[in-house]
Amino acid sequence: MLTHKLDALRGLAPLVWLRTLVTKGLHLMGLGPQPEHVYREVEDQFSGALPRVAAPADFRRELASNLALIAQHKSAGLIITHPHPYRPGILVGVGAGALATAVAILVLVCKSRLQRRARA
Amino acid sequence: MADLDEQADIRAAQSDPRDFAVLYERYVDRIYSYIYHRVGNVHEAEDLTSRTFFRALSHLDTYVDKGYPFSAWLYRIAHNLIANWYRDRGRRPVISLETLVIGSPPEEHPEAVTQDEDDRRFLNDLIAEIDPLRQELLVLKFAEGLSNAEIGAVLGRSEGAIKSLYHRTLLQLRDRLRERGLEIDADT
Repeated sequence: MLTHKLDALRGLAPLVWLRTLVTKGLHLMGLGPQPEHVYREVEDQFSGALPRVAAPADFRRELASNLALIAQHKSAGLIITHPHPYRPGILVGVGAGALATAVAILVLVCKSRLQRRARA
Repeated sequence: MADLDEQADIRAAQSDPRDFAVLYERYVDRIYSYIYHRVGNVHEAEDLTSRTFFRALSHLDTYVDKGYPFSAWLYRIAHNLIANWYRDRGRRPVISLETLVIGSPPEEHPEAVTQDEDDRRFLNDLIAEIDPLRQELLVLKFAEGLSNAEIGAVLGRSEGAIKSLYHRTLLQLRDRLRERGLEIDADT
């Protein structure tokens, strides 16, 4: 059995050698995955460029207080939603559009009636 | 997966929202830092951080452990809010260049601090030139220290895709340095 296993391994050896050769060739051409040390070197260079930033203390305290208030209301069964600043804008826009459409229809109807009277 | 202590904290907050404060204190700096690096100024970072935690508290009942830390869920909420913010303002994502950084130790020589700041700004300039998705990947990797799997959970991609993207991004940064006549010093 050991002999069979050794034979099998010997059979794979050329494939491993071929794979190593192809991989090295790809590296030289700038293709395929790079050796790990290449990535590590770039990581080391750039990792300090984005340090973690702490939230301002006043902001932290204020937000904690607001969240505690919301949590209290939520515990009491009340639902609090964060205001959506664009919602009034949407409502005003839709309303203005509807009004403009109504005025346009009115003008068209009046115009057509006047033209009919003039022809008559 | 959230560790056992965190699972207990999450369950406590789900049954009593007032216990959400524990999770808030644990993650507020990390979420703020992530948002700050993505939007580039303090005012917007504070607003979006607030929205992130308001939303998290409102939807805490729907949170289900999917094998990632709780922080990945928070980052995902922040990521979506930032995407909406950019869409509403039509802005291109940038990496912050403000000088709001963690303070240097007082004993450090001022010239060394200035040189570090200059180096950091230079590297930030390079990062700001690349694709927004890759910028976000670098923020999550370098500033927040997330694993590829966690980043995948935030960005909605597989771990393998994130690993591949990360390697391509690093090679792109190396190429940018070479374009400027610089080489990576392996000893630094």
